[in-house]
Amino acid sequence: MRVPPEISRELLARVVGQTLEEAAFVFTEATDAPPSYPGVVLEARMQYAGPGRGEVRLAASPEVAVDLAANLLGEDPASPEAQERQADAVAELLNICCGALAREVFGPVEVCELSVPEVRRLAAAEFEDQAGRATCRVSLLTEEGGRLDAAVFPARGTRVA
Amino acid sequence: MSYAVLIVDDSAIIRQMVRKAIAMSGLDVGEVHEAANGREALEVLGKHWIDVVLADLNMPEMNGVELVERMAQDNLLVSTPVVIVSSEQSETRINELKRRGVRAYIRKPFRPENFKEVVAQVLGPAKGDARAA
Repeated sequence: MRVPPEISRELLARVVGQTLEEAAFVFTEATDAPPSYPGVVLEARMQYAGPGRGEVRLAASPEVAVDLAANLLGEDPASPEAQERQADAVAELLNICCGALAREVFGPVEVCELSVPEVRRLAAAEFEDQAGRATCRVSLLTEEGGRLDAAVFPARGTRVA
Repeated sequence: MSYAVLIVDDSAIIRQMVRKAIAMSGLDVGEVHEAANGREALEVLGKHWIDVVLADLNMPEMNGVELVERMAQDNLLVSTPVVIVSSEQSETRINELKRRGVRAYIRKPFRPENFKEVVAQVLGPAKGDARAA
């Protein structure tokens, strides 16, 4: 019988942190006391199906999302390109996180199908309500104090450490 | 002689990033075309000469694997090299893609030098690298 893989908060923080650093040159630290999101949250969602199944989500405030887009593109955050691509930036960073997470959790050989990421705009209260149901969740702070969140919602049968 | 590139990705930000990366890579790039999925890519390939296709895997409508399969069935496209640019990290999947005819693989996040190395390898240094001419 296959032993369900484990996804821990530490692993999630490490993979997301490394992805943000390598792809967008944004340095983060996990926090247990994140500041409240002001107003709206941009949240990308992506399903995975391999030895385990579930959904991974990456969320950021629009301000952080603009900074991510600017860094990915090498543009100024005030540029129209960075403003226009903020949702795309969160989606693509989640896509990269999922690829790295799948390898970390399932190993380099197993195949894990990933869906196309979808981005939603949620009110902060709605985001907190939904994120509170995650089996594994981590809040991250950028050097500038911006907040991001990553969460995993494994399907039944996948353990979370 | 410069060469023509087709970037296939459903993410507009990735298409912009790939454009910038190949521009910064030192490769002798001429025309750069874009498509948001495999179906759009086939339309571009039907209208323009393309030297190399840089394609994502996970895309709506027609994904990267289906694009490679469709190109392999077309006598005019079968020899056009496809490089997959993806977050995929499974060795099994990458080997399977190569068996299907994918010429090379670039993992996201990428750097300009990744394109220089891979495209020069796929097209040959004389065509791929402006400074080699």
